[in-house]
Amino acid sequence: MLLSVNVSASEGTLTAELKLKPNICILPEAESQCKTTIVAEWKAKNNKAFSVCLIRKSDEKSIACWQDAAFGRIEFNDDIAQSTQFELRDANNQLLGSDMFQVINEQKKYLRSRRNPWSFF
Amino acid sequence: MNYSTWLNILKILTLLCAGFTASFATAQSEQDSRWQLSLGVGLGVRTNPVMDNADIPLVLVPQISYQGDHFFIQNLDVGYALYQDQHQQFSVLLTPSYDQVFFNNWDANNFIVQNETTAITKELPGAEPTNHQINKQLLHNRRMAALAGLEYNVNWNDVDLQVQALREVTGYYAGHELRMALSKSISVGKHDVKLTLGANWQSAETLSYFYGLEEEETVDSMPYKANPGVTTLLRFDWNYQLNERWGLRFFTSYRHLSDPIINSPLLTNDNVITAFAGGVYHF
Repeated sequence: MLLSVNVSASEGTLTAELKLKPNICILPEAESQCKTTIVAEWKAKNNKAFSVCLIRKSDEKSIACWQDAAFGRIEFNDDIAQSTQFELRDANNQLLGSDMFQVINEQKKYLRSRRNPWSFF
Repeated sequence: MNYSTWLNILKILTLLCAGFTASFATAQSEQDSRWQLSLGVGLGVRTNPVMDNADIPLVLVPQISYQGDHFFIQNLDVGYALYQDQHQQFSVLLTPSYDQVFFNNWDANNFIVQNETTAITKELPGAEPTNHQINKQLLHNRRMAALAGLEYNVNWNDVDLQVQALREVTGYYAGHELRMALSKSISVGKHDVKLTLGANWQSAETLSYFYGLEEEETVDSMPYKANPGVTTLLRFDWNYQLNERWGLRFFTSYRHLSDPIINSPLLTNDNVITAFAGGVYHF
């Protein structure tokens, strides 16, 4: 699924296309995390080069950085328990773009749905 | 209901509402909806073992639930999980007593106008038929009570065990109930089947309130005070999900009433049978 992200910087408005593949994970009931390999690709639509880092927002971890690049690609392994936002930021920590890796949790966070067999229905 | 009883209920509700507010505030920041609302439409009945009271029809079966981090609502059950993990949950619980539903059609308009008494014939397997005269106008109002207490749920491999220890907190009869239910769930494709076996111990105060007869309530029989007793339950639930919104549902249950209930002059049967079949719409 293609995701277009508007990117802005102090030099003006930049537009970049950020793709996460895959960008969704269905977490089985028996699992607590999605263990997955994600390919992140970004490309500046106007082919202008800039320096950015791909950041996992949940813990501010830097996945990869590019210097003076108009596009980038990185493949990385991650263990993700819940929907997580990944961000492109420049050297001034200004947000240039973001995309969401969605986790659909089939696992009941707590005990399976509690039911009262004594109820009226 | 006296002032102290109202105060007790208010305290319990305040505690649960505080938990609900905290859970709801958390839910607002999450994308998943924690509310679930569905409405079953179909045909069903719950038999009524009390006097000549009418069986209870089941046509619209609503289900409403809210699942927070700790606070939960399931229809008329309100609770707060004190401890929980993937296999067990220990909660405080507020839940209604269920015996009152059998007394709901008490209404002078239901009587034959010239006859204030109703002849109750009790025919039970293995026993001689007995007849009593019951004057419903003499009977005190059996009110729906609130029960509060603790609930423990544990799950192993699609087998659920639930135990509830409850005390009546509305001040009507100061009774206790201890409920236990063992369920086995089976899911095959879109079919979900659940078989439940349960037992409910009710104290003498509980059973005497609903099924006893005080001196002033009697016509031709002796007053009746019930002993504690255990009612057993066998229940079958089947759900089939047609699509995201619609499903099919069938459930049936058989309750064998405890001996103290059966022995009550108010009872004309020793069991309660419930059955419902219909479609379910999930909002």
